[in-house]
Amino acid sequence: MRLNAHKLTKWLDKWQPPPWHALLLRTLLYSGLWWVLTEGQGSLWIGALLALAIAFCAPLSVATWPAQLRWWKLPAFILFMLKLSLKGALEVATLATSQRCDANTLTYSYRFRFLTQPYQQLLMANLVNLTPGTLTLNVHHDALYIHILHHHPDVEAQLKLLESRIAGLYGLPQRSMV
Amino acid sequence: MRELLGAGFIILGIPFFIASTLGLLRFPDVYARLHALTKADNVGLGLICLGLAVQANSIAVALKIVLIWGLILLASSTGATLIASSALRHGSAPRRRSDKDTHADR
Repeated sequence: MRLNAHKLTKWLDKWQPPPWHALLLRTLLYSGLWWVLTEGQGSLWIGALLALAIAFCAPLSVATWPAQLRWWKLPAFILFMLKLSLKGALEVATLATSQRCDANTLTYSYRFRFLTQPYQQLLMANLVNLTPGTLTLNVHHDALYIHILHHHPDVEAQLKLLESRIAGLYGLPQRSMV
Repeated sequence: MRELLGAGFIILGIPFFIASTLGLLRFPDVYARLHALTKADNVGLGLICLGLAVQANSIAVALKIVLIWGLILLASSTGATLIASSALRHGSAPRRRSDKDTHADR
């Protein structure tokens, strides 16, 4: 109980009201989530009040989109990921149904070229798992340790392309392209 | 028409689940099996969710189904890396092509 009180005091010391635009964005996002989760049947007032309360209480670093995110690039990025995902699923399906599971598996260390922030690297680590033939084993010292299910020359180029697309999403300068 | 389109997406999703299950049974180690679970399963589930969303009675229900798919994608992708890094930490090294494959003929 004393520990909880200590945590509460620490949280109160750190807490500061979010800027109005972050508050507005969060309230809209959480109200939208309430509407979706209640399938449009829940009380809007309760949803808006809950959304406002959570938007006020959550730390600034949580549930706020990074300011540098290029929103307009998001639909094209989602389409790009869906295409890669489908390609990956077809590759796995082909291997799984082939008479001999003759996969050329190996591990590979991919060093980040543009992504420097931990949250950007974490996003790439997660997305690597959805791209054809690659699985993140570990993120360590600015590099991804990757398991490749069936190695072919396109894999490295595909990883570089994925990193450039994520860098583009965050508006990061890309010194040397593939 | 919507029912037919939805059913089409659902039927398209089923082979991916079957392929994923086959991969889970046939692939030689935990890392390769995780590929089957994170890729084929997610696309299969995505197609089934899309089929259900097309058949939904309201936009809110359709969005809820798509949200469920998105959350499962996130959980499956993060979970795969956590399982893989845990397996690696506990000494299960990824197999190489040169290693003898006892599962290949199954």
